[in-house]
Amino acid sequence: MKHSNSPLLSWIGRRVWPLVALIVPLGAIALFGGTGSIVFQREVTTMMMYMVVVVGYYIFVGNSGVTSFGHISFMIIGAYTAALLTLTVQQKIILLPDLPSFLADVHFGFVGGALLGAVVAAVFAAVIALPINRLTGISLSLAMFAILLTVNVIVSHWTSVTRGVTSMFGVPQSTTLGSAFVFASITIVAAWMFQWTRVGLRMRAAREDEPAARAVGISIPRDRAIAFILSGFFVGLGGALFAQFLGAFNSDTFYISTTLLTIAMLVIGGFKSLSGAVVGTVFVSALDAGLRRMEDGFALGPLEVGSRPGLSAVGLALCMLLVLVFRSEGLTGSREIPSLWRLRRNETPPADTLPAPATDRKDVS
Amino acid sequence: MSSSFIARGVHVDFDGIKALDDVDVELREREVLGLIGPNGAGKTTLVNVLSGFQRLDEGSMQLNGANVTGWSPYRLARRGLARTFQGARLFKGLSVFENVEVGALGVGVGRREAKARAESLLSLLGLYGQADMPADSLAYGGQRRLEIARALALRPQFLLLDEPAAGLSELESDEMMSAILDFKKDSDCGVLIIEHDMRVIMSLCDRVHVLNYGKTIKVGTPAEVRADEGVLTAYLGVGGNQDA
Ligand SMILES: Nc1ncnc2c1ncn2[C@@H]1O[C@H](COP(=O)(O)OP(=O)(O)OP(=O)(O)O)[C@@H](O)[C@H]1O
Ligand SMILES: [Mg+2]
Repeated sequence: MKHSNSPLLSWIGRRVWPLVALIVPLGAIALFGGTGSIVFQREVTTMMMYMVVVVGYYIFVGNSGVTSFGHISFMIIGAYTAALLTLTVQQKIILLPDLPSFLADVHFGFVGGALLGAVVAAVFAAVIALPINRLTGISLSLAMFAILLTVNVIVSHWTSVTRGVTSMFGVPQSTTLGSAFVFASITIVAAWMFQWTRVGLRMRAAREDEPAARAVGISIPRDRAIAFILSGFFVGLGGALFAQFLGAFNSDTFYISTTLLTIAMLVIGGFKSLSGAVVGTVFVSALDAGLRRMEDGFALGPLEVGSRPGLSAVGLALCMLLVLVFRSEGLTGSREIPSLWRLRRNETPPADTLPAPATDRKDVS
Repeated sequence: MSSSFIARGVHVDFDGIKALDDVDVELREREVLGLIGPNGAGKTTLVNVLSGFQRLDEGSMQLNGANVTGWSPYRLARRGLARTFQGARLFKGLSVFENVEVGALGVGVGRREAKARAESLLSLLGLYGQADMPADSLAYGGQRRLEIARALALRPQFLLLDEPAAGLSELESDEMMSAILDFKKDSDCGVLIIEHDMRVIMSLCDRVHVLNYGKTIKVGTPAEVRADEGVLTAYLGVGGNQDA
């Protein structure tokens, strides 16, 4: 590892470089995707949107160390909000005749729909943030699952606003590969910046050792609530992008299978690092797309393999199992991209303090 | 008004075992109070009570005259109370530097100030050269010193140390004590230290509080405590692994 005496260089090496190392390859994938077939373009765009969701999910899970099984509820809220805001007034008269007028009479473009979807999801997150974050561990994970079930039931039955189990359709399909990449990059930058803020650092400390964190004055629920709201914003943004990509969806589009897929992405990459979230999303998206293509049957040299429905689900589950067993910290080992160089700190302490530390460990009596 | 941290009539029961039985303890500004007693005497339990980690079944606590009975650890920390744990508890995945920085951030200090505190405390405890290493890569002695640096980053009014020198070599233990004294030179901090090594207790402490089976059996100067019959029998009677 090289050392540097310049704080600016050190800052670039530690804080800017890892971000560049994540976003530039992603940009390359986007460019490459743009040259491919329509199907391939859609696959890459889908990956970029999942990037927004998974990195948003990571903001809470990675920093707190607590899993949530209900984050997709933010995605649902983001998706429906974006749909309701980007449908034209005429479309809404036909599709949703009983819509309250404050929704029926408004119309937003792509970015407005995306951002407002995110904001509404964040507001919902803010409402439940404090009670939810009084819980810890598995209680929190399951409480979030209950939230997901509840949101799903509401969306399925609130026909006047969501069209219930019948499809919401006609949403302008404005999410492109380029815009999805831009939003993915913004999400990655935000997650990276957040984990170096005071709140982010305190949360990661509490993740490592709760009692020690409380002993230094950290209010764990409050810090977690902040990350929870930010996380809700970005997962909501992902939902809003999906709505404007698919054009049509219903109350089951973002539910259990989406939950499992995004958890797989985070866990397989390594849930305690942003690099893990990014790498996991790319890896699982590629795997998923590959397996899906093989589901329709494929040729292995001279061997013809017939249609294998369910191959992608099984492949994903198997992959997650392998990672959990053999590499529990994920493909990245939950580490970030290493710094380019370190700030050279004074190797010898000032003269009036202690001599260099002895390193021998003696057994505790 | 000089600061004080007082607990009165503290009772803690663990399923019928009286871990603490009517204990009064008082910490004063600038003073080092030694807390000694055989294994299982209730020393750690008392530190847990004082730092808000252990609920008291009876009793009250006052910090600078304000009633702080039943306060949670993080509120007490923000009121100027710092502690270390028996067997170090570090933020293992964070760097040595971040461990100390978080100590200051926890009590609401600004970023710049937190970094400045970390710089100076790491040199005080001889860890400056390892600042960028992960905390769990430190040798045991380094981990113990890091925990103290983190506690000092709170700029506490009262500091509770649970066997900070346990498992250290004599040299390391001396270094640690001189670092604590160094810090105390320009601070009004009151310190409570649990320690089995009588040599350390005698040289460091202004007063010594002796517990046995959850009861206070003596409070006095080191010389008074050493001369006390009851203290001697308590130690000899239990015959644990005392260094005294
Ligand atoms: N959480 C707990 N549940 C039940 N009993 C406990 C608990 N913590 C401590 N005890 C008991 O309370 C008594 C006092 O324990 P404590 O850890 O305070 O002793 P100590 O003086 O710190 O001992 P040591 O010198 O071994 O650290 C012991 O009998 C111990 O077994
Ligand atoms: Mg103890």
